[in-house]
Amino acid sequence: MSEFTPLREAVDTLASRTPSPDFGQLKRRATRRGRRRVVMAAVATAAVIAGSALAVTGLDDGRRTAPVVQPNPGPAPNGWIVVDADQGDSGATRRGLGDGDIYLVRPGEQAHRLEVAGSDAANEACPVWSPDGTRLLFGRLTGSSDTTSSDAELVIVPVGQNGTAGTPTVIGLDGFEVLGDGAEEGFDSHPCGTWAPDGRWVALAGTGEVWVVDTQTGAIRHLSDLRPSDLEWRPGTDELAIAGDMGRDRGDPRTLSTPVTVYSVSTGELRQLGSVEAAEITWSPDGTSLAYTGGELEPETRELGLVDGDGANEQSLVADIGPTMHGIGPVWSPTGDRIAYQRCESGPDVEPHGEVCTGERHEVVLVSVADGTETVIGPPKTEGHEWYPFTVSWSPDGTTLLYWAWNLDDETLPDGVIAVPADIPSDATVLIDAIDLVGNYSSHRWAPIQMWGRQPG
Amino acid sequence: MSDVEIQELYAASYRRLLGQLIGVTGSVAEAEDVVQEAFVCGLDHPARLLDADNPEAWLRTVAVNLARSRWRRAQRLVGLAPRLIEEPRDGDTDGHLVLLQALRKLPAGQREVIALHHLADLTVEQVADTLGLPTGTIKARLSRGRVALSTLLVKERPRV
Repeated sequence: MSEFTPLREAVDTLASRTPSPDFGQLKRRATRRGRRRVVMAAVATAAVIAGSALAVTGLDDGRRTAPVVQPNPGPAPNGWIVVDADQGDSGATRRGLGDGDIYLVRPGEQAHRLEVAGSDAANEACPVWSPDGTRLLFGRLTGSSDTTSSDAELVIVPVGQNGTAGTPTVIGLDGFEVLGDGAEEGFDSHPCGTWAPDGRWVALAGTGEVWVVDTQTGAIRHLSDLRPSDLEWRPGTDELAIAGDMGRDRGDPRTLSTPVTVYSVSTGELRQLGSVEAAEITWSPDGTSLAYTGGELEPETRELGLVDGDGANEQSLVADIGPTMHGIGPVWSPTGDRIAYQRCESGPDVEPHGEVCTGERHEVVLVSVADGTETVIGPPKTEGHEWYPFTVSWSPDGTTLLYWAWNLDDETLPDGVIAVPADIPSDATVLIDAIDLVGNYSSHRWAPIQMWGRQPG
Repeated sequence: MSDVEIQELYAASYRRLLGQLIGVTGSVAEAEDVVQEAFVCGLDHPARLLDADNPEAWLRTVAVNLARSRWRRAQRLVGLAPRLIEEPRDGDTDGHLVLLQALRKLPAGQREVIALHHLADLTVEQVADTLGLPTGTIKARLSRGRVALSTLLVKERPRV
């Protein structure tokens, strides 16, 4: 008798005690999944129509805004990368509400917690830098650790060059539903905003709708019937592109394509961007083109496409960007010449037909916008660890990739944030690997692109 | 492969895969989820099973990878983790869940290789292929896992 015989008997007994689901039930799950792909495109189209009516109504209430004044942020980093992290290092601590804190880090220095009034008793996550690099925006939950009784707020705080916070501005988000882990719409427990180019408006996903918040007045516009997988402001404009559907079931947080909708803050109008359907999008830095790709549930739509800002001139840049398990979709470099995306490494993490990613080991691909040629970056190695990206974004100057990463060598180690020079990835630097990061595994996909602050312009 | 053939595969291999994945995950509920999801994946794209040299091994690989992803995701999604903790229920006098708890105390990497090698009877090379790791890593984890599990089982024995 082997030393493992009792264990084998135990699992066999437990398996035999467990009733098998009816095979028809599994078939229906598979059928529903396929059907969902078709239905969501229709839902998104209806949402555009409903949202248009709502937006027009909102403007009738006298909320039309002044013309947007565009700042001119410098291309250089302001020195700070902002991350959300947990106070404790145990699994139990990092899973609960009440743990999230905001940390600032820059190469060669220890990360330090951003001390903001009101933070001690709150749970905070998804911090992003304003376009001019002077303010941080993040989501805050206060109240009971019972998620259903928490209140949600947006916090905006000026941050000095030395990394100290000034007096925060807090915007209450009445009606923002803080999600538990049930089968509910949306995925963010926190309100996770993304700054418009003018540094005034912020967009975030509520439960089944997009919220557009005027940070100067606290006024909020609601664009209904949307569960976007991506929100991207068009550079140089007041237009917000909205794409994708995250579904209603948090147990299956995979994305689907929808028609891309563009919302104008100044006119309140919603329009569809040509005939483009996408789940992940990214604007060129000059705002003239949008790159897009399909959803995780749609292996047939893994093209990386380009379309002009008016919806014309659709073209294919990469026919098939491969399967992914997670990530934030393609991210256009600030220099405009390359687009970064991630995909599963070939091998055991991709099933034999290459259609489905069954594991999480991702590589990063840089594709030239000019000719579609690709450069593949394998997992960077630092001090014996191989780092795999959850998300990939760019530094403001376009020289460096920022990975929110994990390593395979020891899954019990905390995650990390690493800086990877785009042209010399072997020179990767670990910025943080000693604190547990708040996960954005399947949520707030638009936040990472504003993690790295720009030099105040 | 037709639905009928997949149904036959399901009837023949579901419980076996479930037992193996209970070992991999240390959780009956989690194992049910990932094994069922692997079959749904196969039903969603039946051609993938057709070309597989060993359809059951294909399903196992998909289920193991799903389990690994869910484990990592469970660290991140608020509130999901408590679902993974299974306490012995009243009437569970045979101690199977106690053994399972000991298994669950192992680091995930060690638990995976123990389950795949000693419960699913895969060779070291097959475990390495399934997990995408070097054979040296598998051997090291097997060795460390065996020692750690023995220690845990000695501690748990009086309760069994």
